[in-house]
Amino acid sequence: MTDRRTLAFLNAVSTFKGGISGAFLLLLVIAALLAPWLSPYPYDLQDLGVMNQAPSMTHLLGTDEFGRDVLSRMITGARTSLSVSITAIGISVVLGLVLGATCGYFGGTFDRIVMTVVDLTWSFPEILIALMLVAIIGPGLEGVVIAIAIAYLAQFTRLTRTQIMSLKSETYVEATVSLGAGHTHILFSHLLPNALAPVLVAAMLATGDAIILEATLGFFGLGAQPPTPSWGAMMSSGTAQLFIAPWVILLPGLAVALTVVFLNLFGDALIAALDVRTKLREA
Amino acid sequence: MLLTVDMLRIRFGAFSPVDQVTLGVDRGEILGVVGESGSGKSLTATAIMGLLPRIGGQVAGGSIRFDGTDLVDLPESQMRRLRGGRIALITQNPMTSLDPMMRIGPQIDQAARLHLGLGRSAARARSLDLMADLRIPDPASVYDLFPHQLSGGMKQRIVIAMALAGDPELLIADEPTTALDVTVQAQIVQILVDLVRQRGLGLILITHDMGVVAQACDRVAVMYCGRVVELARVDALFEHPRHPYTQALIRCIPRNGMARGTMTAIPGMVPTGMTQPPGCRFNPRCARVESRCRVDIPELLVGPSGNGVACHLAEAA
Repeated sequence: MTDRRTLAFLNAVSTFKGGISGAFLLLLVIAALLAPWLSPYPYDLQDLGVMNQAPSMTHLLGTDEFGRDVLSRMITGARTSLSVSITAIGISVVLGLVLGATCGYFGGTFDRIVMTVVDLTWSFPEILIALMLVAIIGPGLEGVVIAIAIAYLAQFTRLTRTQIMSLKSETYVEATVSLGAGHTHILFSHLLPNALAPVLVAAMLATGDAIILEATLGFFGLGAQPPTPSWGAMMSSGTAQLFIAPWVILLPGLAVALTVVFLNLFGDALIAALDVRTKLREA
Repeated sequence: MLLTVDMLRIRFGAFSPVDQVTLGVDRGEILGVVGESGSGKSLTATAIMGLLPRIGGQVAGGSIRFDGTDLVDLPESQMRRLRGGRIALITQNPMTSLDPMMRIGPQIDQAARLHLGLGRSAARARSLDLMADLRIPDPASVYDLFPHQLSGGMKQRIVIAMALAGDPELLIADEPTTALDVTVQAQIVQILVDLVRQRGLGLILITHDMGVVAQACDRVAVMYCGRVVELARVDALFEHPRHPYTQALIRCIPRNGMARGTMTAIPGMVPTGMTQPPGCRFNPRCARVESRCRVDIPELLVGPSGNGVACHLAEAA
């Protein structure tokens, strides 16, 4: 017996969409993990003799206004972008699961208070909340992580709460209650495992959004501080050379776009593979 | 008596869907509870399990005594120890009674680990034994399957195994065969009957199938509109039904050799909660209705034999 989640994952990867996007994301993650070894040059090595050079054999993706290797900076930038957005969404998912499960399962005054706050934050665009939070916390990567985590918290809390509320009235939950099980057992052994699949897919899609949000904050100079590269910060510094060295702004932009597109495609493939009910109907 | 329910009244807000329910079951005995949909059978079971507050109801009167303890005022912490440990519920639909994300085995283990304090491997061994007792082929491999890989009849056996895992003394089976094929129904009923005979369990079998009642039960409580209208031994019930509703129900059972077009039905509809008639609740559909039936509510009078009927005309019957 293969574990059902592993099986769903394999199914997702075996489709065309899932395979292509999975391969791209895997390469990206490997590049980010091995950044110090894969980069042809140190990301902060300035060589003022080769400023704003077009892609060539010595600098595969050209150089920027300080003569730094764009490829090296993009690989290290992938590390920043991915770690920031994945950490932020991870924190957001865990907090959202805890809050949403508590609200959905117990209800009452606590639920009403939390949901009012959640609805309130949800009525603002994520970028606005993130900007406001970074303004309070101060620029820097930690601030961006916290800001993105809180900006997406509403979404995961609501999703988990709805899942738990509908699962709570399932017969198998009633059956477990009538066996004398307590709240903790019902929540952790029966409700959360059944609520997890849609939350995971939403997290996959939100990671794409978070990469854009991180790049946006970086573009405004609120994220990674120089010389640490991030895709957003690279694009920001590239605006000045838009007509002299367009690759400095276009390539990180392309990286953001491709990553987000492939994350969404992979999320789609996962949705199809994780949907137990459709699978059962086909079988 | 293992369980005695006396004059139970269940209230949801201002509305009482169950009233004057009196019944009892002893060890090694099967009590059938029959009645149409909405007659309060499942609510009575929910009340015995102490789960009414979950659905917004409460016990407003009467008593539920289990082995000498009144369950109505029992604190939730003690009720939880009884639930699954001494009283177990077999839920209505086996298709939805198993957690789709959990393997079969651990689901059966739950009650044994909770109530008997068994460890993982001891609970597993016990579950495998139970599965073998319930005639589940190849328990060791079924143990590792997921619910969607089993048939309906097999799932119902698993649900029964789950209920038995905590070693209960009283089993409440809420329409355990309704969602199953007729051939499988007979097997499941037979399994339940065997359990009662071998282990000396008390069983409350809720059903609307008079055939199941005749096949399995020792005594029967007939419910109509939230009330017990007749309580009798099964042979007495089928030979001399005393309440007009019971008589009508028995007339409705199709028989071998019946002429075409002679199937009977009880005219009219079960009154809904909001439109209860005054007097006897069966009076608008009763063939022998008299004027006092429209005014006075007949009480369920239980004789020393344990048989009882709630009808003004019962003695004349």
